[in-house]
Amino acid sequence: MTGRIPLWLRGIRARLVLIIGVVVVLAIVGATGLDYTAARRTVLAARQDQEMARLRDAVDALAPDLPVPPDREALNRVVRTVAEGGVAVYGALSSDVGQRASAIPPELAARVRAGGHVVFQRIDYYGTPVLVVGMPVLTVDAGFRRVPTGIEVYQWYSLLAEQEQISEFAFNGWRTAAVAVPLAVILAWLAAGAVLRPVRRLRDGARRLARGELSTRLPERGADELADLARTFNDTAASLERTVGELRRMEADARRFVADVSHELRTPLAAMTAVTEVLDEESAQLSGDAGTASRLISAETRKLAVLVDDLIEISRFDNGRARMDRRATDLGELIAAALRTRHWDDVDTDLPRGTVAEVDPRRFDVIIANLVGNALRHGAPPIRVQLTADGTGIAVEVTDHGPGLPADVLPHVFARFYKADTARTRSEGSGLGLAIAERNAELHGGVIEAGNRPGGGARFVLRLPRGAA
Amino acid sequence: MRWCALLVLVLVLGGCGIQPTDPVFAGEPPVGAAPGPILFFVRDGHLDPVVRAENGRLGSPADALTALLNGPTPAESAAGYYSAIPLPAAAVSVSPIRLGEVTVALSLAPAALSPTAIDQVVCTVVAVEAQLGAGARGLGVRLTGIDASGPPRYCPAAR
Repeated sequence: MTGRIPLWLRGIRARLVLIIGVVVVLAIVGATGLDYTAARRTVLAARQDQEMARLRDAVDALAPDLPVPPDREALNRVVRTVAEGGVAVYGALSSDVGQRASAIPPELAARVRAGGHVVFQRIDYYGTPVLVVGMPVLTVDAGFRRVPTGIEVYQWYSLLAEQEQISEFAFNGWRTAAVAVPLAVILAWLAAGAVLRPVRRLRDGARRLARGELSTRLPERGADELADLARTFNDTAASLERTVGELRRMEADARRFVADVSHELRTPLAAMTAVTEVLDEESAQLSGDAGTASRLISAETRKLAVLVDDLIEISRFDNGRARMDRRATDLGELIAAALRTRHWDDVDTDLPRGTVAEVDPRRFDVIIANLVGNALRHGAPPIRVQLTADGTGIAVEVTDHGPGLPADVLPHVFARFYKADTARTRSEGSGLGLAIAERNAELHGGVIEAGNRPGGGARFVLRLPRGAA
Repeated sequence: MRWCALLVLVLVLGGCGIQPTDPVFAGEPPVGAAPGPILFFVRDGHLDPVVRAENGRLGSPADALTALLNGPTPAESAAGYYSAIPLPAAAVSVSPIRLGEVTVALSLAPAALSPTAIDQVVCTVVAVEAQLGAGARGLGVRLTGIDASGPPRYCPAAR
């Protein structure tokens, strides 16, 4: 059913206008209809009763002078005196000065002939409503019983005046409707507006809330259901604002804690790193368990230093304190230098020189190092780095020939401390490398896409827009 | 929905104007045409009505009363009718019906009339009034004459 209703008719305003319009029309039709029928009954009854009483009294007055049985002259006298234009009948004999006896409606004549009553009937005479009144003339027999004499008098009356009067009633009804319906529609329109305004405010408020403007509040005017709704909305928004604020504060606290801890760890770690360098030199001479232990300590200390550096880096991102230091750089050279510095010589490269872009060299270096380092650690050679550039952007593709990324890992590769292989809890990376790479790409206005090559092996693509890069 | 709208339309438009009707009974018909007045004479010691159709019409109560006081026609006499009213009696007037009573003024003392004669007068007046359209039952006739008027009398035949 609702499918057939056009969209613009399904709004509250259209529905209210429609319903009130229908109610008003029904009310007017009902009231006017009752009024009309009552008035019609009254008008018709008044005319009919008046005419019947008049004719009856006239016949009554004339009757004692009527010969029984009457001749045609007597019947004509009746017509001329009391029923001008009518007809008087006695059996087969009828008057010949007014209406013809054949014009009497047969069913009316039958009722009159039955005797005992004045009978009227309204007929439609070629579009004109006509009242026909018929009455038998009675007499009393020697036993004081009333019996028909056989004389009947019929008279015709036009009801045109009554019809016009009644039409006037109907016209008044239509006129009332013509005034009241538009008025009701306008009022319904305004009333719908009064209902819709708070609803629209509510909708706008909900939209603002959805956009994250948690301080959104609505005016709580009145005491109706809509005001109640606005109050509920405000309570919800306040509760949401409180909860979200609390969560944000807790998150900020946690981040600050990580940042503080990282900073606090840095100083002793710097000292420990210095010590491990000494240990590294000494461990060559150490043999057995002592040598193994000192090499282990040195390796773990370096890893810890990397982890703490990564933590400090990522907490800078979280606190929004990461700064960009853009300069025009040849990306091919930059990538080559990044690989060279880390002695990753067995990586295949396709690095055309001359691709110059505005990047932060340090951050770009971090992205490349993380992507290639990740491929080296988790993938299998040959590892390939390819730089391509076109009119719209720059892409750096890092591929390996390892097992690739399982489908369930794919959505989480950029998550912090996410271990793809749960059995191997300890890896050489800090667990933050890809997260840091992604945040750096975002700073440049770019993205990193993680996926698999068609032939097998993981494929990471760094895409930087030309304009921002 | 569509049928409802159609129904409303039919009611609104079809109910308009003056509708023809079947014949409708409406009240009492006129009474009064008669070949002649009913006169009460006496036959075999009982009141007996005769329709005096000489004129072919009903006429007034006074006319009927005059006809009664003048006695039966030869044809009625031959049929055995006679009057108990002494002949030199003449009605002076018959009043219209007022409060269920008609006052008849006679040119003789009503006390001089026999009960049968009084019944004749009363019944004839009641019968003619009934022929003219009045209710016969309970219609009283007060006779006045040279002496004072008596109580209203009622026609035994109309009880």
